[in-house]
Amino acid sequence: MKTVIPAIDIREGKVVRLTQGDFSKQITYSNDPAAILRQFIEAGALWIHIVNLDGALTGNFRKNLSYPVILDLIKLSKQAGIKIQIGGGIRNIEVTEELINRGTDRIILGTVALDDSKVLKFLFKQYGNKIAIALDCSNRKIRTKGWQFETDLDIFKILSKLESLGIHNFIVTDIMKDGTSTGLDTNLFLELKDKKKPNTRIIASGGIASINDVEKALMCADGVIVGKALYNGNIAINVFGSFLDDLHKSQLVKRIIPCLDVKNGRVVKGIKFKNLRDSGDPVELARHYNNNGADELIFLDISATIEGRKSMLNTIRSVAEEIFIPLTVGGGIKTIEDMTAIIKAGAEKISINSAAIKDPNLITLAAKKFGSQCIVVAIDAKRKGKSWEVYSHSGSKPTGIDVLEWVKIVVDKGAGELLVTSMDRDGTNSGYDLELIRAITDIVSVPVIASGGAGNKEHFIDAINNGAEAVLAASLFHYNRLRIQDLKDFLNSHDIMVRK
Amino acid sequence: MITIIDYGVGNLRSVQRAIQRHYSEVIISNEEKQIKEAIGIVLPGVGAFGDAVEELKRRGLFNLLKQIIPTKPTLGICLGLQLLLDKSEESPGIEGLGIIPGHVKKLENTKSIRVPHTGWNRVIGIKEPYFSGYAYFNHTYYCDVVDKNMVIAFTLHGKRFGVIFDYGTILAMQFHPEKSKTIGEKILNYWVRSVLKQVSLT
Repeated sequence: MKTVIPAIDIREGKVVRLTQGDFSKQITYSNDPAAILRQFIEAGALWIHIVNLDGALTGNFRKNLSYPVILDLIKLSKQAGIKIQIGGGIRNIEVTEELINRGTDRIILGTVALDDSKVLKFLFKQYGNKIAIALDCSNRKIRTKGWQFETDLDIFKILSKLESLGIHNFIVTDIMKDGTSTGLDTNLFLELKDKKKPNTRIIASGGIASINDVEKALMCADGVIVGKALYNGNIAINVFGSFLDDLHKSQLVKRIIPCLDVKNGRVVKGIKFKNLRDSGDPVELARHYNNNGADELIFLDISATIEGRKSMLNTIRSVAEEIFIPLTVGGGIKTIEDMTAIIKAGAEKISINSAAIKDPNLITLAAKKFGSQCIVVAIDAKRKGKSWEVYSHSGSKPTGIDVLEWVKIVVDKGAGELLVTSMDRDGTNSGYDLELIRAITDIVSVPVIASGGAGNKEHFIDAINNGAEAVLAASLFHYNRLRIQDLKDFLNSHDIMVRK
Repeated sequence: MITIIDYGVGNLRSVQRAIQRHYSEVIISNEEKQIKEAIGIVLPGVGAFGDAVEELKRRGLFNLLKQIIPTKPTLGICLGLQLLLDKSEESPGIEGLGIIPGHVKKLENTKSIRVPHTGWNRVIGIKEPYFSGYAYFNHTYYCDVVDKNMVIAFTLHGKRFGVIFDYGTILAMQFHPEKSKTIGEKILNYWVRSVLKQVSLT
């Protein structure tokens, strides 16, 4: 995702801007950096760029008035749930460690990256993606030490040298442009875009004077830092806010949902709906998932008997007591009374399948009573030529209904979410049926949970990229073949927003 | 005693459990006496607007709450928040409690912005005490209040809308604090402490 990053440069504890890195051309904009940060948070910024100018000038990050101020800003950013990158005189391991331990998401190294590759290699090995290199240049030559020294180093050569060390985050500032509000040197960034490795991320900085400049920068770079224009009124803060809202659209995260098939109080998982295997106690598993990153849990009651169903209510009660993530319950739900009992026992949402096929008006009645957001319609789909057929009764009975026709009907009747299981893929670990997910998400606008076939981390990305709002898996998680936290780290590194 | 209003639907036990982490005496009730004697009341909510108003009326709670909420610390959750407004697009022609001036409107959906708004989204605090972080939402409608000053946090889903409201005796939110881990804990703790402060002042 492209990022737009407001900058806060701190000198002697105050918010200032320089022009072309010249400390004699300093304008102080505020004595209250926290208030400035709050303003950017309110505008909807997801990242903040902080520079310790005292540190940049002296090479000592800590021995100045700006250091304690920056620690406060880190705290504030963490509270607000936004990310923070910090630079300016960070030239050793100890300071980097401290800032990262306090919650800094990215450390910007400048001079040290060029002077001392030992330190750089160590830090990169230790912190990987959290390290970014600032390449400050004028006329495509690198400048160092608070921009005081011009070097003969060519920016493109330095870029490829650092890329070969494995580094892929760069902040490129054209200092001839910085603080001048004369627009970005797009040629430089187009050339960088052309020459960089595919997974290298370049954040552009310097000269941004209008929203138009921000848009242009995003076309040739992965992100852009906005400084002076936000302070001198060239970009009004409310205009900036609307721009960010349009850019970000929503920060709803993709959900990872373990599914627990429960029969007579025990969790089982069918391989292609047959050969059930017992994989544990539902309360135990729910607690485990609650503590290990699951965003939601789905319980499917596959008991066939009245006693089994009654014990399910007890299971829901015990699980709801234990966990602080939402619970969806499905399986054998036939009436509004069934739904009321399950919701009262502690479920957030109920999922219906065969009963909706038998009487689609049940969806409408349920949505009217509980609200659409409570009603998930589960669909078991099996390929039939070029289309898919709906199956009922836990996938045992073909209904003759076309899946794409059916999803339109159920959404029309009031379904708030669809849980779509590919029977062809279920239990195969060969990946979700992406065509099915795409076809469905193309025609409805309620969230769709993809189910059936997850076998590795990539499969989840595929489902999400084909329109799924949430991804479900069972055995993969139950047998600990994939840890949810590892999956989330993986999704996060592929630009998919997850809840950490 | 803190009283959670029971009007028939919804998972009240998990709300009770979550508040009990901060204050032990929390009951679930629809009795006038227990509502009147409470130091704070919680109006929870899962369900549809019209159905909930009907359930409140059927239990004789509608007029009682209309009188009591402006005089007593009240925590509104999800539909419990929406019920405090004048009316909702979910149930045209049905009047809400009308304590917070404003209308409940439908979120617009597009292909990339799916509605219902279900799952974890980021709450951005813009006023004291700056409640922020990921919270669990599950709703189709949002609160468009007349006086925007009461909005102390917002969320982005296609558009910006207020999600935490601070209005007189009321602290109310669109998401489920009882299902929202860190931010939920913070809010419930803050609310319980402010209720206890009220008690010690009177």
